[in-house]
Amino acid sequence: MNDYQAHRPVLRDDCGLQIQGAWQQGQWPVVINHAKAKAKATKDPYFEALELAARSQLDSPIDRQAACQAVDKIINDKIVVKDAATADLYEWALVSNGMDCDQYPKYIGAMRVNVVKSNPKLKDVAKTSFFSCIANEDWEHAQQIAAIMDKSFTAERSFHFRNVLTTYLYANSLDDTDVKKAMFRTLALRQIEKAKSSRHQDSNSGSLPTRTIATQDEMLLWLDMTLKEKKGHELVKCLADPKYNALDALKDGFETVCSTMMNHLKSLGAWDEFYSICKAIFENGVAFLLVEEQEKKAKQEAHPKEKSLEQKAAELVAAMNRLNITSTEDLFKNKLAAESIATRTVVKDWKMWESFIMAASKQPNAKQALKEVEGFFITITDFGPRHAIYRTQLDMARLIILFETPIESGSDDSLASGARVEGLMAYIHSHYRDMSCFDNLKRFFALLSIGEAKLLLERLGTNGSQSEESQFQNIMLLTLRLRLRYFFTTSSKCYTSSSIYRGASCGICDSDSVPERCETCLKDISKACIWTWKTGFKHEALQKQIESEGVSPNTDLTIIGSVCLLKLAGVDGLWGRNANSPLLWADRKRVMQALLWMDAQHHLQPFKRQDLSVLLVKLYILIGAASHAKTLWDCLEVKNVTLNCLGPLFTDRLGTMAPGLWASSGRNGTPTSLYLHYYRSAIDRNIPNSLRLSFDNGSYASVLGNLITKTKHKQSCTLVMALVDHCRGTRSLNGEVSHETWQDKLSQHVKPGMRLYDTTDYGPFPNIEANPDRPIQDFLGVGPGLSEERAHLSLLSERFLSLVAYKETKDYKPTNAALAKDRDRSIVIPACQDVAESMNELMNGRGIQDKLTLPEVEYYSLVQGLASYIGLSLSDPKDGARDRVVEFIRSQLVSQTTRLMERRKLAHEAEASRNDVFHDLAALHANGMLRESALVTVQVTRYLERTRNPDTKSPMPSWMNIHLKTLKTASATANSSMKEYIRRLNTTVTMTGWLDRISEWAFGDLVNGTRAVSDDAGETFENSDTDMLLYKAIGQGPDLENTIGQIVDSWQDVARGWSNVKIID
Amino acid sequence: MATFRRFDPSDLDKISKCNLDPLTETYGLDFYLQYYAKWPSMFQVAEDDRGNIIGYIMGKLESSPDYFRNYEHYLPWHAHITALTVAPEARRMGIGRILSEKLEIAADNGDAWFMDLFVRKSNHRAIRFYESMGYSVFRVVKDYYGENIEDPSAGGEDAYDMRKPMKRDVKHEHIRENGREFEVDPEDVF
Repeated sequence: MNDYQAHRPVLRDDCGLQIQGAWQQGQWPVVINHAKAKAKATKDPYFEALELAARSQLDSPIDRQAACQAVDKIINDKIVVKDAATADLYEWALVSNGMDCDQYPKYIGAMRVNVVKSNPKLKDVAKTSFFSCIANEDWEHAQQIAAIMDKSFTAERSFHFRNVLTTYLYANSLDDTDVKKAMFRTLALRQIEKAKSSRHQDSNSGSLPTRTIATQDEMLLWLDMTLKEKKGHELVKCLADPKYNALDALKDGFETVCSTMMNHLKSLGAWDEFYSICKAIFENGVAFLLVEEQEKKAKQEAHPKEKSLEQKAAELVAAMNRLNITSTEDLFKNKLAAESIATRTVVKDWKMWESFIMAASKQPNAKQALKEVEGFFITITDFGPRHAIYRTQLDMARLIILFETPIESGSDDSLASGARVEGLMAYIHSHYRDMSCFDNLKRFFALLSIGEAKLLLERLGTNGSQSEESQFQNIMLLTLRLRLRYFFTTSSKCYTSSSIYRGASCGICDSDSVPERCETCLKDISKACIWTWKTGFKHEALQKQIESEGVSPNTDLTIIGSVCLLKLAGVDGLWGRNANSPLLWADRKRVMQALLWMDAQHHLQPFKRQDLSVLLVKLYILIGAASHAKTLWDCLEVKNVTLNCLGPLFTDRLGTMAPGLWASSGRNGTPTSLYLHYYRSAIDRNIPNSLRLSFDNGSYASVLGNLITKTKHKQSCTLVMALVDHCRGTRSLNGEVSHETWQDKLSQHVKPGMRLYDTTDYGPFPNIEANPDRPIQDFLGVGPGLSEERAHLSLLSERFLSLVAYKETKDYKPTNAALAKDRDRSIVIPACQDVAESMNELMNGRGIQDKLTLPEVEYYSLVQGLASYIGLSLSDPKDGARDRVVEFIRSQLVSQTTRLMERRKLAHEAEASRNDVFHDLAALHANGMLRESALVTVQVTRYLERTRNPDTKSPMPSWMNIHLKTLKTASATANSSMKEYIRRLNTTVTMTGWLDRISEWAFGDLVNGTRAVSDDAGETFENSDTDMLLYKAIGQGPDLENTIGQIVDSWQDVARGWSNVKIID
Repeated sequence: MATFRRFDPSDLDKISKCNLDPLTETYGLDFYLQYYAKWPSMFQVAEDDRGNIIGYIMGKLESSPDYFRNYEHYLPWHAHITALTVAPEARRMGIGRILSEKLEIAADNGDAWFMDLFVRKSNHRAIRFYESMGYSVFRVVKDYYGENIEDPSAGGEDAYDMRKPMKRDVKHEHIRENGREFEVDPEDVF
């Protein structure tokens, strides 16, 4: 039963108890019989509709379609349905039988309008009809109903603005070529402009007439429509209009309107207009704060310690004059109170401060303007509430002003540089306790020269230095210093050209280096991190202070140190370009050290830091320990609304790596079940409900926001990922190509060629890299993140597979088999040609290689080839191109298979005496995609055999026989390679001795006793090394054994999962 | 740094800093959208420079249904804090306080008598926070929470129903000093 079927309309009271009871219990034959009898007796069309609605729930296609045919007749015969309950029944019968939104206007929308026209004074009927139309995005009929409601209830302000908004939305829904678009848009704009201008006309009368803008949401509606309608200079003129601009919005107490207007002025680059309005706002803000402060003091006069503001008397008088008040108590009178609150809120807003500085820096006398701006900020901070964030805000603003203030010609550059470093140091000394200290300062670090960077690092102290005076401060500063040094190491600015052949010299350590990854620096940083992590937290008092301050420098050190190790290992995330899993070539020792260190810290911290947890999840997936990654991921409780943005961090490509996870029949089903449930509820129920509530509550900005949300959900790459991975995951275990998913209403939302958006939130990852184009998540992923192109390619491939694997049921016996096959071909050939063309366009798109893994490139190329081949072989048997296409397909499959075999060969050669599971694990994704390639090839050969069955009058031509044989041979080879791969993987991971082996990978000769473990006594930063420090910190003990045990268990789970995968020959 | 503004549904794609914290519950879309649709000015967020949501507060304005008017636990028109969360990295900056103040402004604009909220009796930090903002315990709701964090063997955990008078309640008629002595059952709470 779908969601719609479950929500049956409430029947009319005159139905009687028998019908009511049967209806509730779904006893459809009973309902049908009674409804028939009632219809006969009363001649009331309602009972006819009731009978049809009940029939629509029966199994027979004739019964299910009866309501649709009846509505068709109503339309053709121009019968007017006047009863709302009848329309409810028809709508339910049609929608619960899968009627698409596209058909709603014709079948139901028009009927709803007739009902409202027949009952123009029945508010509830109109509202029900209106909401039914908007839930189905039938804006044409929603607008007609809204217009009737507006006309029928002229005193209801909400109906007027509902009419304006619906007219506007209807206009937006029309194609640009439709003449009605301009007409309805103009109508909506005129209505809203009239509602706004009548506000000024009546502003002195005390109360506003019904059809005038009165609320912030109504003003936001005007603003939204204006922002979309006007462009460039015209928009600037409108936003800076002296009759109504952001300053006036504050007079109404409309803080959101003010901020929106100012944000748009900023984005339009209208800095002069911004500056002048903003300055006026801040002058008012300071005046309000001053008067408010005086009023507060006046109330507290009883307190002898309180001083009056005599010294501020002049300013106070000026402030009161500015606000046009004679007494400070006036501040609490309604309109002024609202203005005061809104203004005081806006002048404390950080975004406004930032933009104000930017606008000041663009003024002719920037230095003076910046000084003036700073003056405002100081006053506001002095008067306003004493929250810590406002102090931080002021310090940040001062830094921005420092960096923005132009250096006067002739002045000493080194003085300016020194001042910038001193400014940063001053900020650091005030805010080193804040967890966000580094993040806040990153923007300034990026602006520093090498000289300034070195000076700042020097000022922050040296590696491993400890002072007994303030251990907490030392550890925080040292951690910040290491994060900072890592940041500079990843910045291209820190590398200068060198005559040495390697090309660059690191500006921090002066060694020759590859830009953005100086090995010397990475080694130094990782060693300093592990040293500090191991030795810096021994004192109980320090631990207590760290806990009480709510910070976690040890986690920061672990992340920086481990990321350095990963980079040293060669895990760089150049998947798209070098086309292999980074694991294949990575230094196994460094990878394992990083993983074990992060895992150890993860166990140590009482409150798990999300950045460390997410890094670990990614790293475990990368090394093939998917089930252990899932355990960690489940602890993060990503569910409901966070699936759309965070889900891909775990689920993307999971089906290709660990199909065994789809065998899960746990509480939440497969890894993709939750997504599908979420999107179904969101699109079909939650958002339409919220739209209704928004209209009902006059929240017009929320109506617009809800519509955007609906579109974004329908066009989400995560939705496509879930649909595709659901199909891949389930068919890998049951061996069947699912058609169900693509017949589901959810998949119908995703139309071919539509814009799709990647909404993945990478916020949980540490933000430590200097180069924004190389974020940390890029080098820990199994491949590039979600993209519109990949989403479309995967959709096209799935639809192609569904098309060629489709088989009629055994009961289907066409009277004319040849005609049925012709009809089938007339559908399949153009569909395949469309798939081939669309895929060709996508695969030749700009930068596509950076959006796919190599196995994906090979798979999608193969599908494109197969789609072309079907078109060619069925439509034009004489076309010689088919030989080339079949050879292309064969070569793609062979290439994928060979690459898998080569990886194994490589593994044997590299580690002849030891089975290197890393190489097999690195091939998991490639194996998953090879399975898809082989499967689609097998399905195509089967389809062609079915279509060109030798038993029919049209035997299969010899060339096709040869082609099919070629394809079958290639897919059989791929399948046998995969079987061998899976067998080998299972053998390897179930071997004994993994604890020793993995310990040895990570810590080498320290484990097997070749190298003696040094004593802690006498160990200094200088005489220690990273391996030794790590071994002594994390290389021994039960925690390590547990971690290794979990990794091996997880590998075994993954391998077992692969054993259950059905490989179709 | 943080900027404060009304919630927008696209914020749900940027709430990881708050919602990956185990103390913050992630609800279905309908829950968030209900507040967005009905009380948009009472759903406020704090956003950092990278667009991440580092704090949010959800509140509503309501009263008990009319047919409860003569009931001793009838709640007059008031505002309610449904959820307040601040990302771990943004704590101790006063963000929770600013968000609460913004809600109080909306409550005053909505002519509420008082603002109320429920908090676990064991959540001493939150109780101190609200007390510092002028809230006081109005009553104790017995076994309001299904699970008892401090004692898993207990049937449930009590909640404090805390209140702060808004401007409309000039005489402070809707608060009391000895609220900890008044116990009610969950079914008495609207």
